[in-house]
Amino acid sequence: MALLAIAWRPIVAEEDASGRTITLEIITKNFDQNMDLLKKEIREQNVQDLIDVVRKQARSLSQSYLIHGGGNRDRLMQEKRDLRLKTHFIKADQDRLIEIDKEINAMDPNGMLSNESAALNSSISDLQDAVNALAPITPEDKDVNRLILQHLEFYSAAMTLAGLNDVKSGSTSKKGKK
Amino acid sequence: MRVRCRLHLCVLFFCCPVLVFSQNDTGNVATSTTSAASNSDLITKRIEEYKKLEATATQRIAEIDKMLSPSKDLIAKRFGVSPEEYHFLKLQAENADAAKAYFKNLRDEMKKSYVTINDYFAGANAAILKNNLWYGNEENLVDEDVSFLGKLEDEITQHLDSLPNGAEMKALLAEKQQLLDKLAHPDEIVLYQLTRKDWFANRPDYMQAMQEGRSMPSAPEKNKP
Repeated sequence: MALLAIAWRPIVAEEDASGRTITLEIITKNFDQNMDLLKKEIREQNVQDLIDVVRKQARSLSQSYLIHGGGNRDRLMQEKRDLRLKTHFIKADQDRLIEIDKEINAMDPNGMLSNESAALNSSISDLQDAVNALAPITPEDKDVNRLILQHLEFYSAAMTLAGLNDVKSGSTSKKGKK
Repeated sequence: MRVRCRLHLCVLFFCCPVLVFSQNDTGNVATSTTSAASNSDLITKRIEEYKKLEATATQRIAEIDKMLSPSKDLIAKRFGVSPEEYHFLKLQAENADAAKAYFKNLRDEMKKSYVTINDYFAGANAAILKNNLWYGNEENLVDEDVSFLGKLEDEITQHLDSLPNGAEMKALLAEKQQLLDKLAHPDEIVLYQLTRKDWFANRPDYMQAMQEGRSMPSAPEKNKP
């Protein structure tokens, strides 16, 4: 019965044009690599330090993500999104959503992912504030600052897709942070 | 007797063809049936005229483009912009708002899946290594492109002035612009007839909403026919 249940689930693995499955681990690796390049274009030490903090926390979160579900978690998150997009939502869908949440929570019983993502969100917010406070001198400086902010936006979007931005203790809201 | 006469008058009234007289703008008297028919003819005539203009203008624009193309190639070489690039810059300038919205929407869409998020990072990596730091700023660069094209076109005009047949070429360009303007701004009635006529017939919810003065659509299920 369980096998049957797995069989009817839609295939949700995210594959790129070459057929490679894209995971949070791959995204984190590329994010980390780019942030390292962008760091070299920044003169301010405090911003460089904050970039390093974000990179380190993102790498750690990606590892924890692998340990606490990884691909299975991605599949469940995708199924959750698909269910929410259904036009004719029936009781069985509601029950399945509750079941998915239970399964996801069971993958991280000690709330390690919640704590790590909350810490990362807070560091991202600090880095955003620091970059916004910079006064760019050249058009290149302006571009580098924009690229950093865009990278943070895209990484946050990946965290949302991984279900790491709606964890109980991981608020990304800047309101009330200071 | 009086009753009978009245009956005869009623029969006369209902059996005779009714001619309702009305005066038009010029003060001439016309029947309503004739007037409705002539209005319909007038609209058909205006639509036909526009379609004819569209066909002839499109043909004339193609002719002008053909006549100007060799010099355009020359100018392109002079300014380091290929004819295709020049054409694209013009197209982008004509649709600047759509171009800006396109890149913003594209980025928003890219945030919706791991694959496209990864595509953004991969593209950014290649761009940063090549020092193309404008990557991801496309929507803001549209304005710069439009301004660049304006400068380019000013220089093209100056260059045309210096050519022996420059005046003739400039006249052709002006003619083309005039035709484009005409095509871009058709008569409102013609535009309505050609595009939106009866479009709401398939939107029962919208018609209902208008009757109720409601601004919110009904739930999707309710919308289904």
